[in-house]
Amino acid sequence: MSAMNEAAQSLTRAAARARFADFLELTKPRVTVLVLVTTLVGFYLASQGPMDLLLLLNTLVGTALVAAGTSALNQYVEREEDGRMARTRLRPLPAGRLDPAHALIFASAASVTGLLHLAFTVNLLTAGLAALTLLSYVFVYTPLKRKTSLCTLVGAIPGALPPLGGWTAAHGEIAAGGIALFAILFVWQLPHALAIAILYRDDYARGGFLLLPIVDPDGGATGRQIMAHCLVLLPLSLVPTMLDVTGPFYFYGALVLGLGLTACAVPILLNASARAARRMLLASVVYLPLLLCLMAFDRTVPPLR
Amino acid sequence: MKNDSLSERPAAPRPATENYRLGTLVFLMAGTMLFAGLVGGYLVLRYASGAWPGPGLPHLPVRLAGFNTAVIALSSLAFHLAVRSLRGLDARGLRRWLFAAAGLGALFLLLQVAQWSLLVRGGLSFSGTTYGTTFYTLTGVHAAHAFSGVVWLSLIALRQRELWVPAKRQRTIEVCGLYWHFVGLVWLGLYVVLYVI
Repeated sequence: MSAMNEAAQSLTRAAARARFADFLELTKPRVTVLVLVTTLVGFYLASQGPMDLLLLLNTLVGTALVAAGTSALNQYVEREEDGRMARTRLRPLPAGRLDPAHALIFASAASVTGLLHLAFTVNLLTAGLAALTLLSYVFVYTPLKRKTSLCTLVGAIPGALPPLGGWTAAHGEIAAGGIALFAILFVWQLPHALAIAILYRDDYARGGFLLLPIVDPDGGATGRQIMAHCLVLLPLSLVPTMLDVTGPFYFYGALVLGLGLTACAVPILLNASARAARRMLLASVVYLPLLLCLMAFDRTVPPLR
Repeated sequence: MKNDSLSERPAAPRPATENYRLGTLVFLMAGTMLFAGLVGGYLVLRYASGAWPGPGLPHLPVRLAGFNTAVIALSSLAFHLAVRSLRGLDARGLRRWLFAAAGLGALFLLLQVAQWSLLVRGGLSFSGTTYGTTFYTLTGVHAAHAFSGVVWLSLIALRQRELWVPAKRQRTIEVCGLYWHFVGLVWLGLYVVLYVI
């Protein structure tokens, strides 16, 4: 009798663990972590002197909840398209492991809790930016993916807002440095997203998404856009030093990194092959953490007032 | 039928210019507005402040910049000769002149960097003075455009290996030429505004 009880208990425990894993997958943990890292950098750069750790914790908790909710809402909206794509077929909703209604309730609860937490413990501006992130991602970017290849430009807005949110959390208002951070993250995402779109071209086409590499089969326009965005990112990445947010060490580091990224765009411009796209993707994911580390490392601490 | 109304429509009139050329012109107009805004801001700030440059600040190297103006003008000329080679079906000459234009463009950028480091060592930092901020902003935004142009020119020159030029590349060269002459013209304007007056 007790043996059966134990077996039943371990079964329910395993089921609970699987359910937890499914809900966790719904929040796209890796994306959420990246959002938190960029938020942290924004927060650190905007802090005058040492960071207010409690405020930082509240910012990260609120931002994590909104980011998780946004990802879950996105998976709820796109559950049918996800089921048609090899890359996303096994997500909890298309695979039928979670009830869509439960996912929707979970997503809304996480988002609302996160927004309220930001509004009450950080400030209204940061909560407003988080709400803008959620709305522009779920209600503008997600539907646009099936309409136009310009969706990438729209999708880069919610992707670039988290560091600005970190900035406003620490600083209380949107200053030039926060806008520069937003602009860098915005432009960085374009070659990054286009390289991913080249790699998963067939999969995205099956899902019915009109990303640029799908409507541009020979890859000429995609290559040109990737190069153009790298060329815009290069001078833009130098702006923090000009605004006295970072020092000269960052300036030269960002210059070298930007030249390296631009060099990686050359092969893709000549021939938008999967190999060139993979190299571009790798370069972009190496570039950003290094750039953010340089920023944090060479932050200019303004004199305490 | 859904398409009837379309097929019965009279043939569309010939466009006044090709789409790619129109797109380039719109892009260059946007670029013109960018520089017009920056120069406008510069002039307002300059004439609103008393001493220009302020006491203790270095004067701009007028002769070095004048030499650099000649360099970028020669680069534009080299591009013009590249287009002449293209019209004369001389693919080798095209490649040679494209490389010349790119090389002169790179020299222009190097001299700009030299000028900046000269001024930085002379005590003119980016932030702190309106004189420094406006100067570095104007020349920096222009250098960013010139850098893109040099990369573009070099890539076209590197890809020109055959003894003929595909129609698509001819269009690319035309668009790139419009852009490169634009970069040169903007520098001429900046030279007058920043160094001469």
